[in-house]
Amino acid sequence: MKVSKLAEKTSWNVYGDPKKFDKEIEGVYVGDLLSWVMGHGKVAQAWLTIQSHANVLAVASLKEFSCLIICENDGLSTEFIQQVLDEEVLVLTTSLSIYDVCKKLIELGV
Amino acid sequence: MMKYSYVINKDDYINAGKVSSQIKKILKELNVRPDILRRMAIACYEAEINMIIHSFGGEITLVIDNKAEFIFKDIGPGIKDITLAMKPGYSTANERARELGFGAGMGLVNIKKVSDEFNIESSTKGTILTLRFDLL
Ligand SMILES: Nc1ncnc2c1ncn2[C@@H]1O[C@H](COP(=O)(O)OP(=O)(O)OP(=O)(O)O)[C@@H](O)[C@H]1O
Ligand SMILES: [Mg+2]
Repeated sequence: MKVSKLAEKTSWNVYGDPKKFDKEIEGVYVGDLLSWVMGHGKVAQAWLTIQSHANVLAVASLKEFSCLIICENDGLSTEFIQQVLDEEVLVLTTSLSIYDVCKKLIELGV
Repeated sequence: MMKYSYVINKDDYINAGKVSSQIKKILKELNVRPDILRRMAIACYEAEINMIIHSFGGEITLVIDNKAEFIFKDIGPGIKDITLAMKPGYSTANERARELGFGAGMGLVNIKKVSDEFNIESSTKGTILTLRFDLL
């Protein structure tokens, strides 16, 4: 599934223009420990984490994840939103738990 | 031959990863093969972060000719026991770093795994990590 499609099918907040990226999601990786994600995540995966700071964006961009889904989130700082726009990362946020996001992704066939 | 140098400051969390991103862009423009580029980006990122969170600061140098060589050189405090530091899961990361998701103790393991040559030397005066990547 394309990230743009996922954004359309969920009511999750999107930061960055999904059409501009229009990337195919190829699998999912879940984790909050950055060097673990760095070592095990794969290109084009959607990355699920609860972390929301600049270093997460650096990892998402360097690993070329298709998108970053920040879970259990109730609002990003304006500073972070600006950083998202600066980096070439597409970010989705939701208040759902990681478990519920996984269920949703499976339901949608990601 | 091309040479690039960058200064890294202690505890500069805000800019953590910036140098790696910049280097990745350069490598992309030089048409480095995507799989090699990805390995280089992982190694560079982990080493950059280590300098920020564990060292007093230092310098990253990248030299490219028919291969690529990274030198990460900092000004201390050094790694007491390198064998221990290389063990998966070993970390002395402080509370602040851990809150941000650092401190899995996987950085050096990742670097070694993705690089073609890995050499690390350390004393109280500083740590020098040298990595080589074949570009073919
Ligand atoms: N440049 C450095 N200067 C001083 N100590 C270092 C340096 N790099 C690594 N170390 C030491 O080696 C340990 C292991 O490093 P490693 O990168 O594997 O894990 P980490 O940085 O603690 O956590 P992670 O990389 O998983 O976020 C560090 O906790 C630290 O004690
Ligand atoms: Mg590290």
